[in-house]
Formats: sequence, C-alpha cells, structure tokens
Amino acid sequence: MAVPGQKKESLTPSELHFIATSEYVVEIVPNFSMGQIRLLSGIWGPFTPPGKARVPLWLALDLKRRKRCSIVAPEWMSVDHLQERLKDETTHGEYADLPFRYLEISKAIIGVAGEDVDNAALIRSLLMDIRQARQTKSRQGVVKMNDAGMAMTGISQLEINELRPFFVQSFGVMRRLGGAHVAAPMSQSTQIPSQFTLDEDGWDVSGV
Amino acid sequence: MTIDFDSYYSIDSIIADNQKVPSEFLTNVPGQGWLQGGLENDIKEGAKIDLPYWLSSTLALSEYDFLNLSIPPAFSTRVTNALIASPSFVKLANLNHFWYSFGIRISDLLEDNLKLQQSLRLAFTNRLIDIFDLGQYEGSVDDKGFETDFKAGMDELEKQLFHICAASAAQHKRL
Repeated sequence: MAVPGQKKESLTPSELHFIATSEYVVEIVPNFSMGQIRLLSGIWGPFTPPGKARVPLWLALDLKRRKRCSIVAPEWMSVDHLQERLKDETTHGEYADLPFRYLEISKAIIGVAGEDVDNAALIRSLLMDIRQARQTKSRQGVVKMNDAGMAMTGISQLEINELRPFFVQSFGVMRRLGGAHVAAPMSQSTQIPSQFTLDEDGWDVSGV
Repeated sequence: MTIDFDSYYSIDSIIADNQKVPSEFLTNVPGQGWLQGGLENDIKEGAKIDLPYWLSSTLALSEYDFLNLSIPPAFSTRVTNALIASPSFVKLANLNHFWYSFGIRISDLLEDNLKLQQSLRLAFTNRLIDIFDLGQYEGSVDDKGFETDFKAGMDELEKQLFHICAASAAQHKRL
C-alpha cells in the first residue's frame, strides 16, 4: 500500500493531537444558552451560563475559537500540581503520574485558550522541564535495552510515539544478533518451509 | 523502512553478500584463474583468494572440500579487543560498511561462533546510546551537516537507525 514510510512506523503528532482532542473531556463555562446536543460521542450539555458544562476537548477548542466559552483548565494543569510532578520526576526513577496524553492536551489548551489558564507561561515552562526530565529517563531506557523486553511504566503517548521507530528497529537488530546462548540459524530457508518438496538432488517432487 | 538482514530484495543484504572472505583453495580448479585477477589460467591448490561471501560460503559448505575459509580481518581478535576497550571509538565503517550484516553471515558459517556473536552484540548494545544521542541531536538542530568522529565511523545499519531516530526527533520537536 502506498503509505509514506513514516506513517507505517508510527502515528504522526497531528494524528495524536486529533485523538487527544476527540477523547479528552474538559469543563467549559459557556456564554450562550442551549439545551443538550447529541453528538457521535454522546449527549453533551445543557449549556446554562454561568454554570459549567462538560464537553469533548475538540468542541471546547472550537467554541473557544468562536469566543463562545472559556475553558476551565484541568486540575493536573495547575502550577502546584505540575511543580509536584516535576519534583517526582527528578527524584524518582519512574515516570511521574500524568495523563497519558498530557502533552497533546496541554499544548492544545494553552495554544487556543492561553488566556483562560492562570500562569500559562509558567505552566508551559514547567511542562517543558517535565518533558526534558522524562527524556532523560527514556535515554536510560536505551542504555539498558536488551532483546528480552523493557518496562517503561507511565510513559506518555507522545513520548512512546517518538521512541517507537528507533526502539522497534533496534529490538529487531538485537534479536537477529541473538543472545550468546542462541545459536544462529544456518540460513533463512530453514525458517520458512518451502511450498515444494525437494528430493536429494534438488528436484521438485511435490507433484509426483 | 525496516532493517533487514536477509531479505531477498534488500539491497543492503545483497551488498553484504558480496563482501570478501579470505579463502584458500584445497583443489586445483582449471579455467577459473581469472578469480585471482592475474593472467594464470588455472587456480592452483593452496592459492589464497578473497572471494565474495555468496561464493565462498556455497563452496565451503558443499560436500567436497573446495575451500578453507578464514575469518575476515574486520572480525579479528584485535577488533574485538578494541571494541571491548572503547566501543564508541572503533570506526566500523573503516572495517566494513556492512559490518553487522556481514558479521552475522560469517557467524552463521562458523561452528564456534560464540565469540563473534558476542562481539557483534557487544558492539551494538554499547554503541546504541551514541546513535540515539546523535540522532536526537540531529533532529533538534537546524544544521544537519555537522560531523563527528562517531558519525563518520557508523556502519550502514547504524546509519539507518540514526536516520530513523533523527527523523522521529525532528517530527516530535514541536509538541
């Protein structure tokens, strides 16, 4: 199939952005009144200002662009919470506990509704610090890589997507190079059984 | 793009099949003297010729004793020792541009291939982090033309991994 090489390896960041905005649900404060609306993802609303409503992120972003609502940033995007996570990240060996798609979600919200987020600039720099700390951990994963497998508990979608092509190919090479205990196969023909049956002299006798 | 050692259509594996293996003939072969590159018509018993892997492996594994193979210089003990001492400083590309693919082929021919396999594995696992770092760096900077000693010494397989890593890093830089 004529798919570009990079799309075969993993998803693109924009595809991840799309998935995150379809999946994630945020709270908004609408500035219009409307009853419930029925979408493929479910029934959302009603919209009664100044009450809050829960909607999918893509809808929230769209309403925000039309200046029809303000987005309430999720709790984990607060300065306090992120500072704590950054502390976890630098003191513990594991990835800190953050939403699976935290990078995509936070970027979308800050990018479109930066004015609704308190301390947006500080949050952005905290997120960058967290990401850098996590990248250091991913690098440790490469150092410890072997052909048996590896655990990267808590790694996020975007990070795993970035590492995937390199890791998959490296695992492939490692498996072929084999452990010291694994005897290498003599040739590839021993792995794939031939559809023909050959006699000692190499003649095809499957039809006989 | 997938890294492939033995696929029929893989250009890299075809080139790896053509790397030269030092071989010693155990019989006289009339009419094939051109393999030596000289003017002689016949190959004499005891002649030492570098033959491509696809030819030497077939002859060596056949039921007649045509050839004695020796391990190519790129996989000598000296190289293994250098790899143990400092994996990142060995220039694999200077030894052989298809060092890993060729090494696997040689190790498949050997009965006692433990040492060779270990040095292939040792080289790969220890150089991987350098490839990763270099790829991440290349993905994040605008100037792609920089040269380092390690970059110049990567074999073809490592270069492929490097490009995969750099492309992915560049793609995910923004988010």
